[in-house]
Amino acid sequence: MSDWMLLLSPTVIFLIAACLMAVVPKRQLWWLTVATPLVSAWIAWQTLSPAVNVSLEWMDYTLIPIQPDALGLLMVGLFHVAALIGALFIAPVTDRWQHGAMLAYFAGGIGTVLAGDWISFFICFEIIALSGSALIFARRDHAATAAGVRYLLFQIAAGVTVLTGILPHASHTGSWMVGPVALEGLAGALLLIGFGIKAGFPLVHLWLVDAYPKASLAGLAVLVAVTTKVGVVALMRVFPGETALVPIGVVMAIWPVAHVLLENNLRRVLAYSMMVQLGLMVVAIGVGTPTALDGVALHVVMDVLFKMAMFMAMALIWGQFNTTDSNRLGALGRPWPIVAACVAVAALANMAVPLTGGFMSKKLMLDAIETSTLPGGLYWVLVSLSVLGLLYAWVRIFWRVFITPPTEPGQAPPRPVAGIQQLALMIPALMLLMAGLMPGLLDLIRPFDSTTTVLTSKKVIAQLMLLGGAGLVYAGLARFGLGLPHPSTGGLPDAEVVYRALLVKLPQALHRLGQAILEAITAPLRQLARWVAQPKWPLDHLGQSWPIGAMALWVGVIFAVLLIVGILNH
Amino acid sequence: MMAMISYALVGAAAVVVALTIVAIARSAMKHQGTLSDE
Repeated sequence: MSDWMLLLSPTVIFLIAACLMAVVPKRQLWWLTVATPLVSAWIAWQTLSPAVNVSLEWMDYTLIPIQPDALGLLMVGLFHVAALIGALFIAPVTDRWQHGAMLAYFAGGIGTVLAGDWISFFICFEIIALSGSALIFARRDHAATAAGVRYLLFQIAAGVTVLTGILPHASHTGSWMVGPVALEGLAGALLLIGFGIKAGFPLVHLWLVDAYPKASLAGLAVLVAVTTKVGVVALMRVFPGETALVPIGVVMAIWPVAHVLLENNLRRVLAYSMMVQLGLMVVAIGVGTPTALDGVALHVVMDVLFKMAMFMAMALIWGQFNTTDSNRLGALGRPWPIVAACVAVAALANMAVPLTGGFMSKKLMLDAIETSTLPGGLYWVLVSLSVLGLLYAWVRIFWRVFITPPTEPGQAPPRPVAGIQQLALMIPALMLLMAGLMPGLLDLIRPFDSTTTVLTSKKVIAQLMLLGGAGLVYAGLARFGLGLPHPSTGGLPDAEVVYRALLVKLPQALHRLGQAILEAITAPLRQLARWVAQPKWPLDHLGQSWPIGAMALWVGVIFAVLLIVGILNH
Repeated sequence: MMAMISYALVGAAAVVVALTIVAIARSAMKHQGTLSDE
């Protein structure tokens, strides 16, 4: 394929636009940010198809930066939509860094899902790491800087781990093509860990809940769209049907239960809730059937849409009140009805209510899990995750923030939200509703061509029964004061306890142990030295402290003797 | 019909389990003196 195809690839267009952000007048920043995904989407629509394959020679390697398959094209479309939503949302922002970093971030995401070879994949993988950290640094406060550094450390660790896995794999197989890798062996394990860091596996997920809530306005809007999703897509490409992913995904989905229900910082609640959704996706990748993988691909789309809507709402709240503490917020639905309606749709999709996109994608995954060889109990555990969504997304984020009054007084009346930002929230909400109401649309974009029907009366009633039963019980318990605690609390421990134990307490303990061993060895020697120094024999005075002058004299005498002996021997 | 009822029962049980986890977590935090809302 000709070189102009490469120059017109969405990755290059986004990167050029990101670079232009350094020189474009501030008044035109936003126009360029909005125009970029629109122009790139039009060109991609005209040029990209599974038949296209763009390659170029670089040193001894053949790079394939553009090799779109159905999954890659779906993700390219998603990233363009997310970039447009993010661009609309940051209309009031005049910070070049945020505009530029956001476009570079999507360039990395698009490049990664289109890459046909590992070198192109790795380069774009690192672009995501650098631009993502720039989106966090752009907040320009101490907490964001610290979180950005931690984010960068994790992302670089992910990149280095993936590279360390790619090299033995490529040398062993002789192929640099992105594709399935057997988990057995060092290469597979390293790739799994690298992608796992990106996807937020348990214990290596801390960057996710640390950095996302502290990001800049643009970061809050778009960080949910790319980093973890690229990890999930990489797992789909490299480890489809790998059973080791099932237990990892289950732990991942259950790990943050207490956090999503107790944490008072709602930005952190949303970050933890991503883990729940990602866990379900990882289990489905472990199942690996076309239905499961189609469910994962569509759930990536839905998760981006409903998480973007909720994160953007939190960004608005943070911008106005300088807090997203659930105890200090309430009754925002009256001044912000459109924002409230969009968050309501996003929360309904999050808990997989029928006629929303979240139901369609989640049911595909759960259908695949139900009909797989996995234990039946596991299906029910994963089904009940929708109930978790009911509690955190509906009760905690929508109901308590937008409907009921705040528990702590002092909330100032909010300013109206800019129309363009409301439009940014409406786009994902409308797309979620469209996806739920028109399942034929989703059938058209299933990348793995599964044929499972989702919108059946049986599945709809089952989901309504699940959520209805949960809702009734919760309402009954809440009436007797047994509902979710309000006010909620912060400071719940997480995996940082393990890191502190391994990186701080363990070295301190080892240092203390080393000192004790050294003391045990040197104490008898010091005692011996003291004993030798005490006068006991006729030559005891040799062991005593002498003046420096006497010592220098004796050294001189010894040197003189040595000199004389040397001359005589010569 | 039984399958549908089982979904409702699972939903109800999930709420109870989730609230129990919350109660245990709060209790543990209270014990450690890290519960910040009281």
